[in-house]
Amino acid sequence: MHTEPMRILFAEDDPELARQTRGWLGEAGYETVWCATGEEALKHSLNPAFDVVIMDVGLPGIDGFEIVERMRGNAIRTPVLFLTARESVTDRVHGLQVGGDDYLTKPFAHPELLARIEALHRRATNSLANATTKAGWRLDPTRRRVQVRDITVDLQPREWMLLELFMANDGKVLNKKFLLEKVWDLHFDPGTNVVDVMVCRLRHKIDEPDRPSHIQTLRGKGYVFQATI
Amino acid sequence: MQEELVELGALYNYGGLPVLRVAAAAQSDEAHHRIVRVTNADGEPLIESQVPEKNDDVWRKLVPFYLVAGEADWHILAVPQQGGKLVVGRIGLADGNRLWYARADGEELVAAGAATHGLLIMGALSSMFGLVPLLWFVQKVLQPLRTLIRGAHRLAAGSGTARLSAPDAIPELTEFAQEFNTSLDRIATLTGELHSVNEHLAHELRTPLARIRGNLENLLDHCGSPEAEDAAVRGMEEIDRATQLVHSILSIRLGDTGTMRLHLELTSPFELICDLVQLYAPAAEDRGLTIEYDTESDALVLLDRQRVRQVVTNLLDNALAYTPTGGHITLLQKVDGDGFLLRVQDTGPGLTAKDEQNIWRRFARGSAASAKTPGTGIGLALVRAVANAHFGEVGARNRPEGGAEFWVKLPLTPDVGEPLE
Repeated sequence: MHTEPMRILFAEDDPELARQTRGWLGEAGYETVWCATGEEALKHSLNPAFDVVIMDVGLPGIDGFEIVERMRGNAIRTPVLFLTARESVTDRVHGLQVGGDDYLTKPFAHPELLARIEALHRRATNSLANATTKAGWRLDPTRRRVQVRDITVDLQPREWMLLELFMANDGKVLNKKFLLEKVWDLHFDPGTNVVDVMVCRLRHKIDEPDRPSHIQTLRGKGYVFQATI
Repeated sequence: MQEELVELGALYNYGGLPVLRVAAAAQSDEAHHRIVRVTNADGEPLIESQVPEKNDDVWRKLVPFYLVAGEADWHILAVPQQGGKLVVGRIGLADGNRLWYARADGEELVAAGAATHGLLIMGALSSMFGLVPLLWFVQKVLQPLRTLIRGAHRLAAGSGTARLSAPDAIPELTEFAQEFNTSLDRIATLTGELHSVNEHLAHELRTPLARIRGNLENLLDHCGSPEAEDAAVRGMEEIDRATQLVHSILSIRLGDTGTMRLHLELTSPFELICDLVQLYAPAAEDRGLTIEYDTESDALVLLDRQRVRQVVTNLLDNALAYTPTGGHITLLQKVDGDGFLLRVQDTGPGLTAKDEQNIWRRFARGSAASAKTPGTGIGLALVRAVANAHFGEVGARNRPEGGAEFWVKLPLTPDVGEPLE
């Protein structure tokens, strides 16, 4: 299965944050090149050999937005994830307009960073089909139906999106914030435990009685979907 | 129409009845039902451009009135025999008499000219006392003033880049416009500074919070002790709460000071609210509550989706937190000429008089809140701030049948938001 490790360019000027993040990227099996200034990041960003770029916006020298704009101007199409302390929608939109592909605000949960990198690298493309086969289910996307053994389950539109997202990230931790953004387009955590209840509903629909659940809750981290249990 | 009334008034003040007779003859037009008349202070006619008895009964409907020189009032009278309406304007003249001017097609003219009403009266006053010739006044004062007012309307509608100009006006007005613009530039600079201070503050807080969070995550992954894991999880939850709180407080400040940048998109409020109602319905069901959503229209409105979603979720959070088991939450939404209106009704304990005064303030919590009621007391302040940023309004009341109702009203096309670079 494993070929070359994913190569990541990581631009972040805060040494402590960089140390932690490089640790997580290393644990996930990625090869990381780190730079702490805008000039350095610009130089590396023009190298097409990277699979994903993680770009801090507030870099000393040249800011992250400008670097990515120049990257795109030089026809470098490497997917870019902005990592930033700016949370406004205007900044988010600006980040995407200059050519960024995704946007994560600090402070962040490291599984969320990894999930986003994976999604950018399109490794997850076939994981939906894989997870379906592994779970032994039959999926009917047009009717939003899952056939679990001999029971057919109808899902609500958002429940379906939630299940798809889980299956595409089989075995990976997904936090609440990530689910809210991808399924409901909410960039904040509402005061009511809506996601917990939704996940609970989905569990009741897809889990078989007397067997462990497909979706585990990890306290302080989020949820993990397992196709095979 | 105001303009005509004032000009006729000025002509009378200048040359008395003979001059007015000439003007009235030109103005009077039976086909369009324009009528000019002058009465004394008691309403007895001195001249009238139409046969008096024809409209006598109509005039009598107007009660006796008192007008100082230059003051005007307006009435709309039904004229059944002519199958329409007559707009009647009356203005006090310099010698104590009254000038009446009526038009059958005046209704739209009155509505269109309402904004400049006061100015015309001012102009009429100065003309009446012979201070300035009318034409000069209109060209150098009145028209530039109208341009200034239009500029001021654009500013009031939130266009931060609009500036006043009065190129052909008297020097005092031109200078006024320049001074005003200098002040606006200063405000724009301060607003820009507020934004950069906010960004700076957010950055200075978020980066260390991110460092601490990262270390707690590593602690959680590698400590192997349940007590330490619990401490790490609680620490991370606190950091996430603090991050969101700081973000909300800064948003409230921007909204309340009218400097929030909105990302406006053409949006179906129906879909936006439906999605959220579906998200909240299971959580409501768990609490023994039902949510019902009813809409009267499916129009598209310019909204900042994230912000408006925050408004709706905050109102739903409140309704869920304060409504006892077995209760109902009803969302009513409509879009009409006045704008977008959302009402969220619950069957909870309602609001005390003190609540009605305080609930929109930061960190205020409803009287019905207990230690177990979730929330930081910042949700409604944020709702109000977002409504402010859209040039909208918020309100709350107790429903006669019990429970509270919160409403948010946003204008249809808020002419706000910085253009996106």
